[in-house]
Amino acid sequence: MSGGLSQRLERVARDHVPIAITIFLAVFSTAPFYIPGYGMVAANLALMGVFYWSVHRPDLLSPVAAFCIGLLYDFLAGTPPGMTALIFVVVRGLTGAQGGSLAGKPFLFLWLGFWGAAAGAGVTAWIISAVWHAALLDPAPLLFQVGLTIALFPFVSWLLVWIQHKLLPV
Amino acid sequence: MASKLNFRNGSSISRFAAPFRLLVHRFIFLFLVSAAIGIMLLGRADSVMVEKASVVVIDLFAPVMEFISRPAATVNNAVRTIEDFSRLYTENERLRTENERLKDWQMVARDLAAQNRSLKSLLGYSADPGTRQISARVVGDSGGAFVRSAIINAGVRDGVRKGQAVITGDGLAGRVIAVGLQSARVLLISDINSRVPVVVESSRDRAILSGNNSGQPKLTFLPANAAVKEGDRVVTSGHGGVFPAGLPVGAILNAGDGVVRIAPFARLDRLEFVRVVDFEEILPPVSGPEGPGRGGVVSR
Repeated sequence: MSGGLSQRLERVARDHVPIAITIFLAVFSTAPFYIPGYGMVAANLALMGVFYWSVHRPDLLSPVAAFCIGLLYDFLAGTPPGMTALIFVVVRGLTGAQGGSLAGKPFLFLWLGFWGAAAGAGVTAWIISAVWHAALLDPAPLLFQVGLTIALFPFVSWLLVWIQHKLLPV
Repeated sequence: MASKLNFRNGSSISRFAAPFRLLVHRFIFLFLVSAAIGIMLLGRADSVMVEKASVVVIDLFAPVMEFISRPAATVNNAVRTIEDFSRLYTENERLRTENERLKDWQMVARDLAAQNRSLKSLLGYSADPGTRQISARVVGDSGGAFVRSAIINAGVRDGVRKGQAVITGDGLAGRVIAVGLQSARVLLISDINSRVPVVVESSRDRAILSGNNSGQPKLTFLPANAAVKEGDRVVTSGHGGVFPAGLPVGAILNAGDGVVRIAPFARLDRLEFVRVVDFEEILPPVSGPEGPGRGGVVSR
């Protein structure tokens, strides 16, 4: 019986790996790297996590989890509260619905899908921030941020593939 | 998703449950989208409640952020050490000449300090309240494309209060806007919401330093006839009683084309250690029979 319990506990722990990894990515994207100007264009690592798990294991990253991670990011980064939560829920919703069509495809398709997600997230953030601050904001740092997020996606998703194969139950 | 579950279980119950499940999923999605928009509206209308929630979350994650930022700081320090080694000789020469110059300044300063003391005693001048400084490390700084803020690892238990000025060795960096028990959020002077009353050191022209999310905040409400020129130092004016007067802020970059921008002395894009200035706010004097006294209630 105790074997069954420990197995069940292990299963529960493994089931929460995607959420834990995405939370880590959210906290990591707000860490200071002391590189001049990096703070402005810091890649949105949590978005990569939300997108990747929405495609590959939507069952282990619920919309509620995506919402909470987004809100966590907003609180840590100082962005308008609710903005990233909204973006993550929409990405989770749209990608989760389309996820089946991307899951088995070559990586290039996944990356192209992420281009769409990152660009959409960027435009949404720009519009909401402009309304929030009631000012027309310079979109240049955002373009860099979206570019960097897209460019780093292959590396992060490679890491996530590894984690998925090593840790997650099939 | 629903069909997958159906296939896996194959029971008649789940077949009936599938459309219901889909409906629940749609409902959850719509609910979360509305919740996010609701939080945004709430945050805009009543920022205190959302701020409190954010402070609790930051406090909770501050130790994790600190842990993550350590390796980055270590790498950064190592790179800086190597850089320093490579220009040890030139740096030494530069410091030697600077030292000579500073010794002269020291003599002048001592002379002036003595003079100042004697003149103050002649005038019966009451000094500004003393300031205390709290050192802190920046543990979070990437606020995204449209926010210029940082999280520091000092909070209420260290004496940090909302509104206090945050400085580096070079100059003013920002102001504390939210405080938790062991962490605080600092709004940098470059943020679009930042307004700091300043004064141009040489001409004594007052202005407001307004952030614009770029590395070069601008001076607004500068008098039309202000005689400012490139390179003039800008310091805090102390108006509003929040910041102590005379904190160095930056140097004027360009003047003349209408918009006056300044280059901040503090390196806002690579903050590592900062000091929070604990400054006792000067309240307006109370007039009337209650008599003067700091901390009294202003009655009208």
